[in-house]
Amino acid sequence: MIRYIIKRLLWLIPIIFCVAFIIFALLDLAPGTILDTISTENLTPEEYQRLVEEYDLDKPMVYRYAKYMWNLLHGDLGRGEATGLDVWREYISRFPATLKLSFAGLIIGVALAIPLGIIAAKNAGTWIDNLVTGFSMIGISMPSFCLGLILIICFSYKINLFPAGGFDSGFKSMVLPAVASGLLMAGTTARQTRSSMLEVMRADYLRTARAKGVPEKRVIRKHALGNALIPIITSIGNTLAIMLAGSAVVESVFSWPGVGRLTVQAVNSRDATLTCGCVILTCIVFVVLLLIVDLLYALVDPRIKAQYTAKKPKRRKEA
Amino acid sequence: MKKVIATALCAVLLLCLFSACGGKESSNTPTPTAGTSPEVLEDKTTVVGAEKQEGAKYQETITIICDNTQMAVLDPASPQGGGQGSLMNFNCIHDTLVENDNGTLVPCLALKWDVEDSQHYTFYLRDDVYFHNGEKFTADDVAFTIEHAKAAKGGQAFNRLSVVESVEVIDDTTIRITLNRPNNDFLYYLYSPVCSILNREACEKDPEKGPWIGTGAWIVEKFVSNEYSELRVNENYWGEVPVTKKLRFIKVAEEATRYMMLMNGEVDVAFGCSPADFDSIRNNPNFNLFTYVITNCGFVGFNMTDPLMQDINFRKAVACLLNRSDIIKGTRYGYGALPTSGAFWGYTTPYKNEDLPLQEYDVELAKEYLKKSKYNGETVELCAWIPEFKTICQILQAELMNIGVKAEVFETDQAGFMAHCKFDDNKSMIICTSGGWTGYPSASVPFYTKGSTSNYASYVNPEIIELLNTAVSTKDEAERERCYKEVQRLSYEDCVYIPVMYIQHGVGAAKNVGGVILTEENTHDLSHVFKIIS
Repeated sequence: MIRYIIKRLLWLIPIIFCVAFIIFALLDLAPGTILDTISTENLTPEEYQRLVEEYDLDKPMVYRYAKYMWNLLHGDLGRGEATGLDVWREYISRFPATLKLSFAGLIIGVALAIPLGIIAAKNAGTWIDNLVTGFSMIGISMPSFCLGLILIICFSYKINLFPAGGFDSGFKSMVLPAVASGLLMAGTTARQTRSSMLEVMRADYLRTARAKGVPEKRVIRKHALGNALIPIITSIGNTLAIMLAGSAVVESVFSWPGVGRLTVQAVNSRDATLTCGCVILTCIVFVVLLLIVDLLYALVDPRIKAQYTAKKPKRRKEA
Repeated sequence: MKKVIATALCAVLLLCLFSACGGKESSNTPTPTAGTSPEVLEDKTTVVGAEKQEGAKYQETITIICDNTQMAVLDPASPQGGGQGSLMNFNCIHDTLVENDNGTLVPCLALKWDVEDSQHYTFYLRDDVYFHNGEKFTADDVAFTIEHAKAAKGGQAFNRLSVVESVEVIDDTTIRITLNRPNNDFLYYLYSPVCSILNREACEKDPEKGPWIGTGAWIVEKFVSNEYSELRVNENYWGEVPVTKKLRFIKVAEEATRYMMLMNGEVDVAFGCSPADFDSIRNNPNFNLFTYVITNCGFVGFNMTDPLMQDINFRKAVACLLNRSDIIKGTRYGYGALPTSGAFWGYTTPYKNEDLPLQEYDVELAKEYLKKSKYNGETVELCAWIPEFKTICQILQAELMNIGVKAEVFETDQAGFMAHCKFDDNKSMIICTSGGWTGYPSASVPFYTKGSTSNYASYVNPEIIELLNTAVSTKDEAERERCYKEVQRLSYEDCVYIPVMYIQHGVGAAKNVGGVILTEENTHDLSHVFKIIS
């Protein structure tokens, strides 16, 4: 198991190299540079050239990338070119906000999705199933900015139950953004739960359990859900990873000071250092989260745990 | 049963499709009003809102929403320190040498000043001012501020203070500044919040947080870049101590969210609301709406390095297609001011040439100019990055296509726009944007200077440069006026920058909020904002 974890974490290295290269390449292709966001009215040509040299804009993209990676290998994420602020500190100061929002969204999403998925599976083909499917489709297809604004209009503007934005009203500030994020998760996870449960519910061992007189609730909860959990956990893990990456749209609509907004601001100011730093740190979070999801499989499914802990058969030495 | 449900759903879908086509305008859609709102503030700086009352109780914390421009850093010299949020913070945290009181310069940290031939300035400073870290304010801090600004290339402070050639600290309360050449507007540069005075010791000790230390009425408690700042009152402020105890500036990206936060009472003052919401704020008895026209001139410009745009007949044809009233109604719901003349100039910037007639909307005249031009069927590109100006591009595109000119709109963000219209490598054709004007006339210089980022037209006219150099340095007032007006006339005749409108912004505030100082340059001062609660 340890070896598996280490192997997965080591994959981070090539991922970071590739991601950083892609970011530098994309920013290089995008029109404008960091110098286009500042005013150069009174700069002499020599001063302008000095600025160009300071930001290495006269050098090829590969040089800037190599310089960045060299610093990164020494643990230095650098300072934002636009703001001069430390990238690590900027990211970390915002990460707790994104974490809170993501986990709140996770709780709402899971609390809605799994029961709905089970109900839909149990009542497959009925109007209840159609209703749940419709709800899932709305959750998946409605853009989060649209949903966010609808929630603000209904629950904040019309009935003044929750604040429209910001973060300083404590728990109340988190409700609407969490619902906006959570509904997306609820939609995808409900569909996944329904299809996994439908597959499992046809299994012979459930028929055996019912024949033995096990109460239906226990059949669903212990026997069916347990076996259907693997794809559900995958779906939840993927969506949570996306949420932790920072939903820039939800954060912008609700003025939530998270990492998504920071990344968008970095891109808009063509700040390669800050953009790269944010994306790399987000990648790390993504990979770690997916690793946790993989390890959870072992908890949920003893067969997978057995694979991790199985000793390799010894090779017989030929006489 | 399934067929019945499916049929019913299809019928509902068709009904929705038909109902979306045509029909009357919703009663909730704000009706664009024509022309400038009657409440527009004509003064350069105006205090708006409630008046302070004897024995009144004031709210301890005031929350203010800034618009969506940068609030990236709290260093006035930083190139990223030019957004409205940053400027409002600087006004609270810092002081400048002089202040602008409705166009008149009044003392602030400088008690008085002597000016010799517009090139040598001697300031006599206050002796009773301390920074937030306890350090006494001295002339050396002024010298440091200038050094710091000159080192931060590309910032607005650099643009203003790069004209300083040398600084001589005579004693703790006297400083002599020598410019590289005479400049009549130098004192006006100094009232800008980007020229706020910093403490040398604090900045040298901590380059990141040192600039947060000022002499102003507010002390920074917390700051998260581009999100929010929290300030607490400086009880030892050398001037009038504000009655409010805490200020919070928050940056809210969505216009709709800003409006709803104001309506909910989550914030007390909201800048950057959409003009579609202005009437709703004004008509609500619990709120006030204050509108102001900023000096910036929204304009259409032409890339003078493009072969087609070099043809004056084509430029004049485009000039005849600007239906300004409709543009203001369509983009600002009527909240905009029409230019009073054809001069490309700031709204209230001195020496505006009112003798230049504004080209009226005339499609037939546009067609005549087009016939005389070299246009031979190529597609013309209209470029913009500001939302209102993207809409102006679309309106102009329709007008151009109406007279037989193929046109496409190129929308981009700010960095992309600046790269597209770079002086030395200008790829644009027709540009729609807003120019950065201020209350002093030398703000026109960047639009005509070779290599300047504001010279979107890549336009170089040696005669204009000569006139501007004379105007900036001459002591003869009549000569200054003549030069500036001549610049406007030459630019008008070349038809390079065509004024379209002056944007009228609005700020919503709760009914009992007062002490808000609005300025035409968008450098509003909320250092003495208050809200009466009883």
